[in-house]
Amino acid sequence: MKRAVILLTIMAVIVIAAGMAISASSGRPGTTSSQVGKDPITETYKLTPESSGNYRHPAVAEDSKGNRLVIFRGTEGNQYYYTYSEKGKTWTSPRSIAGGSQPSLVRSLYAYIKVDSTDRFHCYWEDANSGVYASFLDGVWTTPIKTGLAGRYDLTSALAVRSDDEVVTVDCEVQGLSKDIWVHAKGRHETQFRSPKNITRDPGEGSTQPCIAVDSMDNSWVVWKSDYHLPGIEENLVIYLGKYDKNYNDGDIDWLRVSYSPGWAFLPQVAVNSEDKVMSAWAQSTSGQYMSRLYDPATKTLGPIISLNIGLCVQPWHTFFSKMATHGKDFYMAAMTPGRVLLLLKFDEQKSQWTQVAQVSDRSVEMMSLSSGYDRMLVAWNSFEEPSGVYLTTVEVDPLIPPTKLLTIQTGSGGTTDPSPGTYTHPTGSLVDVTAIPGFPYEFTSWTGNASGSVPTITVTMDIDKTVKANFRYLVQPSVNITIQRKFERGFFNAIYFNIVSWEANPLNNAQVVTISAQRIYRKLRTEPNTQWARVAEVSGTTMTYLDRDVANKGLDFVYAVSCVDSNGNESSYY
Amino acid sequence: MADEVRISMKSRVTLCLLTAFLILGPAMAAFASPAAEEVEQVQPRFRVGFFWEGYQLNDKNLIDFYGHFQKNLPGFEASVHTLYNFDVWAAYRAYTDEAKTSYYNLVDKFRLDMFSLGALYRLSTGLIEPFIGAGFEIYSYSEKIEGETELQGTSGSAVGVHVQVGTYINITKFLAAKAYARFNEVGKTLPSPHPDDTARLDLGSKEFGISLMARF
Repeated sequence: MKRAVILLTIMAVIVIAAGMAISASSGRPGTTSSQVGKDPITETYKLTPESSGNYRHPAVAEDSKGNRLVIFRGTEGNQYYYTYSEKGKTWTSPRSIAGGSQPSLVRSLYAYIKVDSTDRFHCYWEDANSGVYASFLDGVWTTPIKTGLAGRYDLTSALAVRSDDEVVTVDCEVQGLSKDIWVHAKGRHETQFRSPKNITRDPGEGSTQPCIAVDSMDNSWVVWKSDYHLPGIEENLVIYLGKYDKNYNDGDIDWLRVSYSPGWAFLPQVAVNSEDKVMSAWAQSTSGQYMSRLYDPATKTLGPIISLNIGLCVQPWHTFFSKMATHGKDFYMAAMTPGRVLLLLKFDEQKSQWTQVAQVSDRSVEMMSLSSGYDRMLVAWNSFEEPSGVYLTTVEVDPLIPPTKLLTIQTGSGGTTDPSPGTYTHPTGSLVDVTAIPGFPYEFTSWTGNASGSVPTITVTMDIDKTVKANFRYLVQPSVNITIQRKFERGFFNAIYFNIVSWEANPLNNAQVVTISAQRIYRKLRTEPNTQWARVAEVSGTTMTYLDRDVANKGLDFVYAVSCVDSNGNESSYY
Repeated sequence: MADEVRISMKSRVTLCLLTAFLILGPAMAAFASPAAEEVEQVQPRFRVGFFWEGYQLNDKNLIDFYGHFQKNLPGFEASVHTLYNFDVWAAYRAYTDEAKTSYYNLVDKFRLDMFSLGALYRLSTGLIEPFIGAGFEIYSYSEKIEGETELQGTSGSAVGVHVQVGTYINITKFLAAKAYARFNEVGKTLPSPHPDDTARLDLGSKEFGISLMARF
């Protein structure tokens, strides 16, 4: 009995010690904590009707007005459908995109929606042998088109939209034995995708399963899975991260291997937050976990590999799908547990750990899409059990604080602006009107810096930090204190009337040390409107009198004005 | 604009009297008495001489501009005895003046050439022969401005009438003196008015003079 008590005491000590150890380990980097803080408001909408068929592979996005669009594969299996909800209104019943005028699907998998600066929804879904693209604005669809291929299409591709509204997709295309990552881009006003561009060109390594995101400078960040050769290892699957400039050429860093090597990594995701930090994530089957890694381009620092610590789904078969999105500077992941329960997780950069925000699904999930709304993360998903339906789960998050850019307004001498000169913070992508206001006696001439033209009011698009400068020009002033002596030269029978016009130099011109190259004398009858001023003579800049002999009739009561012309040929006003 | 002669009512009366005088005078002389014819026969037929007169302008603008109300003028005159105590008389004199233009002070010269033609009726009393007369005035005027100027010179002509009264003093058989007063009415409307807005050019005048004449 005494032995039993001792054994129990020892076991209790062991259990308590183990518990303390587990408790202590929960706060270290690379772990996932349980839900923190108060529970967020989570709402789930079933977007598809009960059916004997399967609705699958959804994507979701919200525009700046709060309108939401979800696309998904229809029950026929060969078409994509959509449902749309204007902010605060109910969802429309599912309809075939573009009235069914779309390439016939063979097999789908990933789908994406991204919203551009004009609130146009750019939609992309995968077919077995191509990506299909269409856009949606104000209830109108463009005709879906294929992105065009340079080789045989391989499933799992991605979509991004740049700040200049260029649409870019990445996919894997196979040419012979070579698997490379190809970019397909379409400018804002282009109706077709340009010729695809191979951005990997690594013939020794098979590159597949790409994902893409863009930063505030419209650089593209691409991740992909590569079969990285290591001697003695038959298959070494690693994740690469690459940066590409606006023209999709290699950026200022080499490709970064972000995953373990050797290892088996799959289905990478990438996202760029409002601070232009780049998060990549993937399924690390050798660890049985989703892994992530943060890269800070500003410091060119690659952080540690962080596990999501939710496990990987391997039953009834391996399903490593996940989606990543940003909300301001926060990174979110939607990923399934081994039991196919869909979770929403948020990355805590301070603690270097992923935190579960909400359980999204109440049933098994096959595929998901993750997008950021104003104050909700939007997770569209379809159920695993058949007949499968499409659901949208919204999870309350902090309202989006729009990323900001600095607008510095400067002026040259002679005027001000509205807003006043200074540095202002504006939401990224916002439009800011700036008006140049000349003081007296100046006129606005041009904008320089990140603006141009001579229109006083400009609209600055805050896509980057900008400096605009309003330039003013001294407005040469007319001569002043004009006096008229009305004289006549008389014989006995005839007389000639004339006026002696005298004036003084404008002291403002003198103060500005303006060289007056000429003065122009204008005349009109006193009773005439100002439209009747007519130039009668031009004299030198130093002349201060003019004899107007052409008075014609002593009854004509002329008044005079004298303008000044500077050395650049700029003439002052004169009345 | 064509020259225009405007004759006042006073001038018209004067013109009628003058015409009657010019026509009726010699006609009456033709029916004069034989005694008168005898007197006629002893009268000299021609008188030719020169005179010196005070010439007084009527035109206020001329006076104001040129600054002279009166100038002394020399002139020539001649008459021919027709019948009885009637003579046909003619005279010429020239009035000149000058001033400066108002602003540039250029010299402005004015000239008025005056030709008179009329009839005289003399009371032949021997040593003293008073007379009255009337006739026409034919004038030519011009203004010239010296120097560079945009002012235009002006010239023109005008006609009018005169009446006169005076007396001959027969000094010798061949020499006579004469004193007279003459009143001229000559006017013209100007194309452009003067600064005081008057468009009337009054070339009329009063002349008071003496003359020394040869008679033969």
